[in-house]
Order: sequence, then structure tokens, then C-alpha cells
Amino acid sequence: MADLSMLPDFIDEAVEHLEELESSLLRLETQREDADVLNDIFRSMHTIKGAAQFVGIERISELSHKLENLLDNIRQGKQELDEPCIDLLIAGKDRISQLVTELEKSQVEETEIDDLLQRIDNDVEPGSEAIVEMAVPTEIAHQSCSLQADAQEEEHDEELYNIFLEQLQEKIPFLQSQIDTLATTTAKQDILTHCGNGIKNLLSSANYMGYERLNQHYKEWQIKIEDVLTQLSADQQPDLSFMQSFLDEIITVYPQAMENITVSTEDGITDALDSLFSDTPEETPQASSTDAGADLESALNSAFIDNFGESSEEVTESSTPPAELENEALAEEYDEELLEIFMTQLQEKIPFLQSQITEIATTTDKEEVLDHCTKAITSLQSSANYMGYEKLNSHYVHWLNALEQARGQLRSGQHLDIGFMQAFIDTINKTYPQDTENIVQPADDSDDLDAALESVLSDGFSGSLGEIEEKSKPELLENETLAEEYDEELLSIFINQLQENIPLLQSQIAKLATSANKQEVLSHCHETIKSLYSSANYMGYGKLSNHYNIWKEELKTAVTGLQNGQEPDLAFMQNRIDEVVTAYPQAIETVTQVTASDPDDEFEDITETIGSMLSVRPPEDPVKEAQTKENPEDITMLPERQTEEDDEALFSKLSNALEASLNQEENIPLTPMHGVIEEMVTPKKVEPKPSTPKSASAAEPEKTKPQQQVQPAEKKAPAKIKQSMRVDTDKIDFLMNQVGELVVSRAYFAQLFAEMRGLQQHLLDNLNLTKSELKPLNEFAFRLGEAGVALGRVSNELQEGVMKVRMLPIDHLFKRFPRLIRDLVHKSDKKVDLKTRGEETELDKMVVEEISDPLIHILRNAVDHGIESAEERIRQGKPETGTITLEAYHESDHIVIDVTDDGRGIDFKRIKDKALAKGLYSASELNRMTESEVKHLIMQPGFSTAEKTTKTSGRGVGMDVVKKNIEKLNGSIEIETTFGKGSRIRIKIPLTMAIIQALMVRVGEEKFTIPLTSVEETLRIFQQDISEIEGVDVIYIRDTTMPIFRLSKMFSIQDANQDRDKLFVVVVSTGSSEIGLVVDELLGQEEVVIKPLADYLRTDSGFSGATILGTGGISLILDIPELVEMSNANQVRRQQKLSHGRRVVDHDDMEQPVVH
Amino acid sequence: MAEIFTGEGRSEQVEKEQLMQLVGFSIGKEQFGVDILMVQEIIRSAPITAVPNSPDFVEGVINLRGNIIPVIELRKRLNLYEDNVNTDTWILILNIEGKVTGFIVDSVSKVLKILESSIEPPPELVVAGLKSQYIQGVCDTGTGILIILDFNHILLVEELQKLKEIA
Repeated sequence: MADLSMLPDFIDEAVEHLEELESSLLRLETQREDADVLNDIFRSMHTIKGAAQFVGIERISELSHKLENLLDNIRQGKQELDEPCIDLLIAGKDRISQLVTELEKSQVEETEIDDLLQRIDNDVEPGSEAIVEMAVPTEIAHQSCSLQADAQEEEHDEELYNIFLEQLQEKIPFLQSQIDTLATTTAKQDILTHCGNGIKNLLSSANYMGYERLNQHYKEWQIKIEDVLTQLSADQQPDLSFMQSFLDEIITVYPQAMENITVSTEDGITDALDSLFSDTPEETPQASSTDAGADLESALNSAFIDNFGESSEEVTESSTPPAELENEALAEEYDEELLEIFMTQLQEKIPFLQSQITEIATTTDKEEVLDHCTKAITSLQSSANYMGYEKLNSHYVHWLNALEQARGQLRSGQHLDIGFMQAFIDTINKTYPQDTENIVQPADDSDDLDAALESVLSDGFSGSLGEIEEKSKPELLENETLAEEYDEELLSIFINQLQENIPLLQSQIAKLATSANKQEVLSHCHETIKSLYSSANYMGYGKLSNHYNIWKEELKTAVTGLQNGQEPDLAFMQNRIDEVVTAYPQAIETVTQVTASDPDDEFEDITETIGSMLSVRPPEDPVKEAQTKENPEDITMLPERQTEEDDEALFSKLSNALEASLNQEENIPLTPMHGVIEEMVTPKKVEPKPSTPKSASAAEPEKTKPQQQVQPAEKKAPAKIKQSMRVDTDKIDFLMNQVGELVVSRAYFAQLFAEMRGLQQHLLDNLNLTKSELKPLNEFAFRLGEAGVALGRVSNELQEGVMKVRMLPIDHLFKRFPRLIRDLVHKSDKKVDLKTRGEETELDKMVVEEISDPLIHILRNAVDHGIESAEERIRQGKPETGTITLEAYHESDHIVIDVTDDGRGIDFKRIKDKALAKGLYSASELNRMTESEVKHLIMQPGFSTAEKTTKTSGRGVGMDVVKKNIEKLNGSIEIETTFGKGSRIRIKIPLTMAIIQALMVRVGEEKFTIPLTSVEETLRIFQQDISEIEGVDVIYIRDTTMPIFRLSKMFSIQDANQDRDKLFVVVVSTGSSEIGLVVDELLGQEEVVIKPLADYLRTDSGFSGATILGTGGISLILDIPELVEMSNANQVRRQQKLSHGRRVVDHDDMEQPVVH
Repeated sequence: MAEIFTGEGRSEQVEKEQLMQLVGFSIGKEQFGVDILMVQEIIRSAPITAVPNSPDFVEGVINLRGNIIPVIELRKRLNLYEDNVNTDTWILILNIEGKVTGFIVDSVSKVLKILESSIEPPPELVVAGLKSQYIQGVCDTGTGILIILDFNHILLVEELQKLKEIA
């Protein structure tokens, strides 16, 4: 089922890849040995396939899959890359393109692909059939082998793969647990449905990855489950062992998915962590988990030291953590944010579970409570899974299993032992002590732990912090630092604030001794502590905020004391601040300098020091350094001596640390991936030994190495890609419209200014005001003019900017053509080389789309009619291969596209013959024609058809259409040709279609707009210059005649002084013919925004659109080509009438001879 | 076209039946109505720029806040007889399936609420000299017959083209 919501994205993506594919395929044709090209093709095809499968587009995915197989065979040398093979690939690509187009139009794939599939199948040699064929469902051995083949395809997209793997890691243990429960539970149906859902998820992810065989595997599994479900509902007892075998198979292929489970079965692992997590509930949990907890901590610590120690030389690599742990630790630093989310969840769920456990003892509805627990644990499991904490995950899985058993016990009426629940929670609490802030140290016995947990609960839920003993405050504060590193950013803000406020407090305390106004100083202190309190609170540092709270209280008492005239003991201030400083010595670093300096400028010093502190990453707690071994999560930490005087050394160390941590951050995402890759290449291992990258790389060094090299290259590539975004064209059009309005307003401004000038002149002339009297007015007019110019400048830039948004490099168009040429030449005796230049020239997206067809026409003509056959070319002494050059460049406000060929050029004589034969013109007319007129003959409608059918030389296939399309864009087309040498067709089009330069004219009361591109010149003629030839008004200009038409007649506009002596004529040209339009007045040149007209007003009316004038009025834009056509049609009609000797005065006639 | 207004129908005496809100207008003596949802706005006559070579009933185009909108003389379009020419006209701006078009009418009355059930299909016979294809339905308002026009049909492009050819 195709997902329609994703279809547009798929289409966009597919089109891009298909373009790439096409150019690669064309390259492949010339460079058949080039493996890179083949790889490019393979990659594009694979991406299309993956996306199509993901969206659920059947035919495309099937076809691309087959093509991919074919490509793979070619790559492996099983299939010869010969002419038919390339043709097949190209045909396949075309079919996919066609399907994509159909999808875009109707959301349905219409074209059949069976014929191509057949062809591909025929092409693929029998030896490789095993790969093409789907795995046989019943043969598990065969299947797993094919599944492995899938696994080997893996390297294509590491990121996707990681996601896939994550999902696998999440679902497989889930399935495993489900299968385990299946044996015991009575509600088999439910469990199976759950499994079915899990498999469905896996199926879609495998599908997305394009793992055909894995996909197939899942599908079979699903079918099996369905079968069993039917059997179950029919009260039969089905054999459920298939579940395990299906699962096992996947685990064999993807051992890394099962790490967490296999770990528990593996012996020989002495690692404390593992023994901890593999603890089954039956064991005596209290004792073992406590020990394990301690071991775990040290193990984790050493792992971290080992991993992060690389950045600082001082840390020795004394401890060698188990490989698994290292992996997990690596994953841990991955994303602090994620970690925080994880921790939050942990902090949320663990107390909840704890409360549930207490409840279970008292409540009667034990099953419901168990359900709650299951839910909570499942969500914890998935979060652990997401974080990639495999051991934790497996711990949860065990827990869930235990829960399930407990439920079974409950149902069968047995006594429910919930001791295991507490054990599980304890284990987690010890592993992640930071989730419960108040746990001082992992408790030695469970009573303590319980007490600690109690305090967690009271802390978490009631928020009352008072109960915690204050005597151990410094230690408590230190402990809190453990929790600190979750969010580097927040932490650094917190530290910054600390650094800012603590010195401030210090200085305030110093002042306190001397100052007379103690009250004021104290209230300052109070403010500062308040802000510190809130930041500590925000960070969730319960003890610290509590500390501040007490401090605040003490301050208050002191202030009250002061008010009562007592002299309070202020020593507590120093004590309090000392405590904080002990916990966060980095805050005080700045202070040590301050105390040494002159008290007068201490504040400046402080700010300065803070500034320098801020410029580097805040250093971590030196006290913590002593704890380093117990404080594994600290990422940025580095050993640091407490010699605070040694500022220079400290600073350099800090920057080193910063650099190191930055480097590390860059490296981090890669490292686990390497691990994954290395794992990927070892699926053949019989006994799945998960996450043993070292041994894997040792076993297969050749395989691992190149992949690692490939990876950074792939990583780099996206960085080079320009940032871009897809924007709805409507939005841009709207913007363009508004800019158009602005341009109109600017024109209005100019008009106002002109009117102002007129007014000035009027005042000067008629009212006899002196210049000095007019001075204010003049000044105002000047300022108005200035403002107009400023507005003009801004609107010009804005217009340019918006237009640029719509601009596309013409390369988008040009890159379609090599394929066109290839197809045209393919089965002919011609050899053509297409060269493109100026691909980077940009033009409006709409224009790009509109000129595509005309260019195709022109290129086809050039190949069909222009370029001679190789044989003929050799005979004429030309190079065997003909050259067609496509060139784009800017010319003022226009873009010019030249299509040049070195073919045979246009034979004028032949054109004349054709025209005569077609009866378009008489022999005498043709003889009178200039060369340029003859050239334009080929662009006349009706001329082309004959050429098309005879397929003889010359141009003309659809040239009239070409011309029409280009004129629609307000463009023009020119032909230059030398017979025997070649021709050049030059298309000139405006950069944009939305705004044009135009000549404004007046006819009667109406103002009309003539696109400047059509205007050749403007003339001023006298009535006597006009003469009549064959019923048409003409004037003589430069030794030739030119027909003129009165716009007032054409548009039936009342013309007051029709018989005026002087007339304005605008000479307009459509390339082939020139006509003169008689207007009443020329109003000047203006930039106008084209607004569309309703269809029924545009067709055959002689108008292409309208524009809004500065005054708010409307001016219609003349459609010159159409007008010329209309006048020509009238001319022909008139001539026919004349030749029949019947001169009828028809009111419909557009032009009537002027009666002299 | 049969868009039903259901929002405020409750306050009226008939609660459950569906009400249709119409903008009433008149040309000559005839009363017409158009679904209120189609009406974009009603403006006093604006300067109209004539478009040469356009169909006879197209009065021209107007500039409506930067958009160029064709204006149709509804009287001519419907071939209604022309009595004393009213210069004090209104332009009804309708959005007909995305095509914003102005129609010149003589006057615009209030918004009418009409029970959907009281609208009858157009009679076979010609109503007020109007071809039934332009009529969506008729309704007796008590003060006379109200003709609900089918503007989709009035703006049918093919027909406009044909009309233009004849002209």
C-alpha cells in the first residue's frame, strides 16, 4: 500500500536520483571499464529502490531491485557490459522515470514492467540466479545464507543501518521474551499478536533498508503466526517451536542484535557487570547485587577513564575494561541530551516502581499493579535500548520475564513472591546512583538502600529537602557533582553563574566588615544567593539549593537582627560561601586574584577574570579529580592540580582540554559506527561473540580497513552540499506579486514628483511668486525626489532578490540533453558530440520549464537535418563527429541561448522551392524576399509539415511551435546559417516573465503597454507618407515597405483626431515580419509587472496580460505576435477579396485604407 | 454549489431544517440571489478599463487591490431586457471556483435566509426571459420570486468562447 503522504517527497528524491542515474549511464556507455561510474549507478539505483520500498511503490521497487541485481552482476563480472545490456539499463531507467511521472500525475503506477523484468531475467546469467531468486522458505539453511547476503549489502548507509540495528536490538529481545513467555502463558493468542506486531515493525525496517531476504523471512514468520493464530482460535495446540527457530536465524545473521541476551549465556566472562545483569531473580539478589554494584562502579569508571583518558596524557591506561563495557561507555557519551532524557525517565520510573512494589504488598488487585510495573519497565527497557545500553536492556528483559512468571503464579493462585522486584530495582539504583540524588553511597545493606530510596521518594515527590542532615553538607554537595555532567550546556551556564556570583558574594562579605550600611550589603547578598538558588534548583541540585535556602534564611535573620539594632554574627556568611567553594572550587578561581589586587578596582578585575574564564570551557571540580575513578561520566574533565597560582599553565591546559573534548566529540559518532561495521563483516562467526571488534578486525583486516576509509569520505560529502530548502512556489509568487506592487508604487512616486515639478512651474509662471517665496516648496520637491530615489533603490534590490530566489542554473535544463542526443544518434550513421557552456547561467524557473520544449525541437533539428552522416562529413573534409554546442550567457536583461552546429546549414534555394511547391508564396514574392525573410519562412506554420514527412535537409520541424513558445516568453529567435558550414540558432529571452520593460503608449483615452523586446523603433510620420498597397496602409522606410495599422481601429477606440497630420508609429517585430502600429502618443519606457488576464479575455484578443499603472489604472499589454498574426490574417483576407474583384467594406476589418 | 449554511440556523423559528444564506440583488425588476459563500465582496462601481475584442458582455477589467479582475455586465450576459439604464450600479465580486469575477448588478439587498427545502428546481419554462440553465433554483420569498443563479454555468468558458465567436 503506497503511502500517499510521502509520495511527493519520494518523487522529488527519485527525480533527482534518476537525473544522476541518467548522466552516469551515459558516462558508462563511453567508459565501460570505469568502476566508479558503475558504483555511482548502483548507488542511485539502490537509493531509488530503498525509497520506493519504504513508500510502498511496488513496480518501481521491483524493477529497481532487478536492475540492481543486474548491476551487481556486472560489477562482479558475471555479466558482460555490452551494448544490449546498457540499452536495457537505460530502458529500465526510462521506465522508472515514466512510473515516477505517472505517480506524480495520478498517484498510480500505470505502465507495466513485466516485459522489462523478463528482459532482465533473460540477461542475468544462470549462475547468478541464486542471488536473484528469493530464498526458499522451508530451507532454513539456505535462507540464513541468503540472509547473510543481505547483511553484506549493509554498508550502503551507515546511519540508516544504525537505526535498523537499534530497532533490531529493541525488538529481538522483546520477541525472545515473548517467546519465552509463550511456553508458560495460557494467553498464547495475545502473545502471538504482540509478536506479530513486533515482526511487522521489523519487516518495515528491513523493507526500508532494502533487505529483500530478511523481509521475506519476516513475511514468512508473519504468515506462520497467522496460521498458528487460526489454529489457536480453533482450539488446536499448534507447535510453537517455529518461533524460536525464526528468531534464532535472525540472531545468527545479526548477532549484534542479540548481544544483550547472548551475554547472559556466555561463560568465561568474569566481568562484574555481566554477572550483575545476568542475575536471575532466583538467586539471592541482595548480597550479590551489592557486590556487583560496587564492582560495576569501578568497572564503569575504568572504562571511562580508558576512553576519555586518550585526551589527557596524565591518565594511565592501567585498567583494561571488558570490551562490551567499553562499547557501552562509548555509546554513553554519544549524546548528553539523550542521556538526560534517559536519566529523567529513570528518575521518574524507578520511584514509581518502588511505590508499586510497596503497593503490591497491600493491594488486592495485584495483577493490575503488575501490569503497571510491566508498562513502566517496558518503557524503561525501550529507553535503555534506545540508548544502546545492552546490559541494562537485558536486565529489563529478565525483569519482565520474572514479572511474567509472577503473573503466572498469581493466576495459578500461588503465593506471589515479589522480592525479585526489589532486587531488580536495587541493582539499577546502584548502577545509576545519580538517578536518585540523595543516595550518598551505594548502601552496604538493603535496609540502608531502602532508607535511601525512601529519601529519594520524599525528595522527588514532596520536594522537602530539610530532612537531609546538614552536618555532611560538603560531602553531599560533592556528591551532587556526580549528577552534573548530564547536560554540558546547562552545566556550563550554571558554572558561569557560579563564577559570576561567588566572587560577588566574596566581595560583599569583605565589604560587610567595613561597610556602615550592613543592611544594604546583606540585601545585595540575599539577591545574589537567590539567583544562585534558582539556578541550582533549575539544575536539580537538591542539596545545593537546600544549602542556599538555609543561607537565605540565615541572612534574613541577620537582616532582622540588624533592623532591631543588634549586631549579628556574620561569620556564617564566610562559612556558607566556603562550603560552596569547596564543592565548586572553579567558582573561586577568579577570586584568588581579586583578593590580591586593589579593592577599588576589584570589580573590574572580577569581570575581566570572568571574561577570561568564560572564553574557555569551565574547568571541572578539582576535588572531583580525586574522585575521578568513581566519577565515570565526566566527559570534559582532565586532571588538574590545585595550584591555582599557576594561571598560565592552567589556561593552556584548559584550552587543550577543550580542544581534546571537541575532537572527541567529533570522533565519538564514528567510533561506535566502526564497531558496527566491524561487526557487520563478521556475521559468519558460528558462535556469536557480540561486540568483539578487536578480534573481528584482526580476523579480517583487509575487509575492515577499506570500509573505514570509505566512511570518512562519505561523511564529508554532505558537508559540501549547499544548504537549500524547498519552498512552495505559491509563496514565492505571492512575494513576487508584492514586489510588483512595490515597483508600481515606485512608479507612482516618480509620477508624483513629476506633478510636483509641474506645480512648481505653474506657481512660478502663473502666480508670479518669487523664487524665495517658492523656496520651501522647492526644498520639499527636492526631498520628495530624494525619497523617491531611495525607495526606488530599495525596491530594485528587493525585486532583484526575489527574482534570484526563483532563479535556477540552466544546467537543470542542459543536463537533459546529452541523453536526447544519444537517443537521436543511437541507431543512425551519425556521430554527434554535444558541448555545453555557461551551465551556471541562471534564469527564472518558469522560463527554464518553458524553453525546454523549444530547445528540444531545435536540438532534434540540428541532429536530424543539420549534422550529416559520418560518411558524408568525411567526404566533405569535416571531422567525422559533428559538434553541437549549447551555450548560455547573459546579455543585459536577457539570457541568450545559442545552439550552434557544424552541419550542412540551410539551403535557401530548397526553402524557396518548398514554399513555392506548398503554394505559400508566388515565385515573384519569393524572389523579392531577403535572406532573413527566407530564413523566417521555415518558422511559418504549415511550412514544417512537408519537411517532416520527407525528412530531407533543412530546418523546419515544428519551428513555428518553437517560435510561438519563445514569443510567449517575450523572447525572440534568430537564425544564422551558412550553407555547408552549419547554423546557429539564437534564442533571446528575458530573465523573468513577471516584470518586463515596456513602452507605454496612449490611444484615445486608453494607455497600452508594448513589451520593449518587440519594439524595434519609434517613428514620427506624416499623413502623406502613408500609401496604400493592395488595401493595406504602408509606409516606405529604408527602401522597403512596411504595413502600418492603427491601434485605434484595431481596438475600436474612438479617436478624436483621426486625420491628424503627424502620427506616431511604433515599429514592432516578431523576428520574421515588422509592422508599424499607429498610436496617439508615446508615454515613455517603464518597468511593468505582468498580471494575468482571464482566459476568455486573452485568447485572440491581442492582449497577453495587463499591468497596473502608478495611478491605479489598468493598462493592457499588447501581444505583438498575435497582433501581427491577426493583421496578417486580415491582410490575406483583404487580398483575397481584392483579387476576386469584390471590394467589400467590412466593419470587422481591422484596417481600412485611409481615405485621402 | 449546494453549500449549506448550518451555523446560526438555530435562532430562527425553524430549528432543524437547513438554512441557506443568500445575497439578494436585483437587475431591473427581477430579484436574484447568490450563495453568500461565493461572495467575496461587494463594491461600488470602480473605474473599469475596457478590453477591446472581448465578448460583448465583458465590461472590462478593474483593479481590485492589485489584482486584475474581469467585470461582466450580468444584464447582458443573461440577455435581460434593458430598461432605463441605471448608472448607480454595484459590482458583486464572486469567487467562482477560484476565478474571481465581478458582476455588475443594479442594486444589492440584504442577506436572505432561506430554507433549503423551499428552493424549487428551475421550471421548464423560461423565467423572466432567462434560460433555465443559468438558474439553480427559484424560491418564493412572499414578496416575489427570487431566482438563485448558477454562476458556474454563467462563467462556463466554452460558452464564453462560443459567444465570442458569434460576436
